[in-house]
Amino acid sequence: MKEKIIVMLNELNEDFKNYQGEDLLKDHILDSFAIMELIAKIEDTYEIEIDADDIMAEHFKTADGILELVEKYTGNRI
Amino acid sequence: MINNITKWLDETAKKYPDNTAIVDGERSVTFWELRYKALCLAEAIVEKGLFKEPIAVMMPKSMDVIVCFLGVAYSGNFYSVIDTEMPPARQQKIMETLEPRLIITTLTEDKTGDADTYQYDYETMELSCEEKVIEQRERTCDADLLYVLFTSGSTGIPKGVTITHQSVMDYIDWVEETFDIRESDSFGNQAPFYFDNSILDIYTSIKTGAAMYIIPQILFSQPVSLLNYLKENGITTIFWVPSALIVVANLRALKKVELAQTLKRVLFCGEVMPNKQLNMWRKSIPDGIFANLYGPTEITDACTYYIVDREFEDSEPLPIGKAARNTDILVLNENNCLVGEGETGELCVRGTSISRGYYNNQEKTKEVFVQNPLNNKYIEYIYRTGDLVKYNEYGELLYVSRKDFQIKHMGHRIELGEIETLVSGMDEIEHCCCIYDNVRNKIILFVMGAAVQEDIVAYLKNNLPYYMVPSKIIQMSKLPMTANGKIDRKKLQESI
Repeated sequence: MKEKIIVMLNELNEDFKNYQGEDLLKDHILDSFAIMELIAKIEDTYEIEIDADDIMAEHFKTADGILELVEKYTGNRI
Repeated sequence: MINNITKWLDETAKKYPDNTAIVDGERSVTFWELRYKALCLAEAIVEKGLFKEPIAVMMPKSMDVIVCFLGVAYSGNFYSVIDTEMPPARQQKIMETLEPRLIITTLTEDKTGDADTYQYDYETMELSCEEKVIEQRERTCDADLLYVLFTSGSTGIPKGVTITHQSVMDYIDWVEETFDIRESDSFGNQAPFYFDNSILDIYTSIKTGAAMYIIPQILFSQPVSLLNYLKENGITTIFWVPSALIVVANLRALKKVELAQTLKRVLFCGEVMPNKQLNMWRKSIPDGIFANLYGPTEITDACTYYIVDREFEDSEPLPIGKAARNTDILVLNENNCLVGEGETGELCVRGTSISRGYYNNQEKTKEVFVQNPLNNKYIEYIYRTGDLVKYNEYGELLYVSRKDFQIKHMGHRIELGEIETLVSGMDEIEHCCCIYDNVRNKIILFVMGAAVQEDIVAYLKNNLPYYMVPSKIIQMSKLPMTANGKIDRKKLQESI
């Protein structure tokens, strides 16, 4: 699942490929518009609906954070 | 008698001294304090012997920036804000055009070059004698410059739009009256201070006594928290770019937070607002006023407006409406005649809101600030926006497209030519072309040459603000050409 999320992040911003930092938001790899696109892709791919309350900056700082959020909904089923 | 924008803060500070003027995270300032701190700064500037000179404000977005704006205005000089996140190369280009006589900053590292600097410190600033400021202040009239705001320029050099006190005063008078803003209102500010949408938040607040909340940037990435912030702080009015409104709507946050009791006005400007998301907002705040404002930086934020008064299907265009007070709209065809019904023409503006031209750039000024072709009796400049529009059956203006390669991306106006000029200057680049993908809202750069992709990205990042850096670079062995030897943009557009 992590690979798929990484592919999605790469599609959103090619800079993600070489990104070594610790905060995708702070470093402008992701912005609010990109988060919106990412959520839409994740929801389509995994057939889930992420609760708006869960869309918090702390989940979008790293790929692992995003993965953790998705796993909350998929229950590790994929 | 004082006839410049500072008279508003005098009046408001007298009328509502203890009202909160600005809230910035844990900090806040009353109108009395705001005026006092602005005067402290003005005194320091006056002591430096500066009058009617450009002063740069270089610091991160905070309430201190507004103290600086007002301090500069009280001193009879004019300001330009330099975004601290902007790449140094771009800051440098702006500084070269502006040639500031003073740079007010909170930065400890020296990014300012040779110019005189003033180290800003809110806590320690004190006023020794208000009288010192009075003379210069009284000699500043409404025709003098208030600010210079830099926008993207196709030659690679940002253009400095000059705006007078009068333009802002006339615009804010109109905002106050049209949207009935009062002291009991409060603004939820989204716009960066280098973006002219912020003029509405800042100066309407100062004129009316309404509070202005600087919304922490991080909240725009967590929409439920953002709406809770609006609700908890009783924000009545927001003026955001459509991108921010779209994100909130698409991430279903409007269903989570009840805003109908607090939020009264939702104004937007800067790019096209899609009806689908607008309708979601309207459903959530049934009694709210929703208004689509339109205007380039050259016309003091906005020059037309449309207050949404009927239902729109998703596919219908949302009008940009009619002229705001103090402006007059001329829609001119290629022969410089007014267009007929249904005919498309260029939106041109005249009135008190138009800029005095680009700072230190006569050539660019002459291109777009031109004599009104319908008036051969006396000198009267109009601004040619480069936007194509037409009238609908209600007599409202509809935006059609740009005449050139300028785009609106995430609320920022960008000349694709600026990116192209920059990339063309790189070694090992033979040719390049920038295209905007309207569907995915992305800037795409096509390049021809041996340059390595990583180098191009690094070069762009060193020279452009992050929102101007293309999200995709496509290397091609040859760029498609039209019959008359120009890059075939249409073909590239179709290929994405």
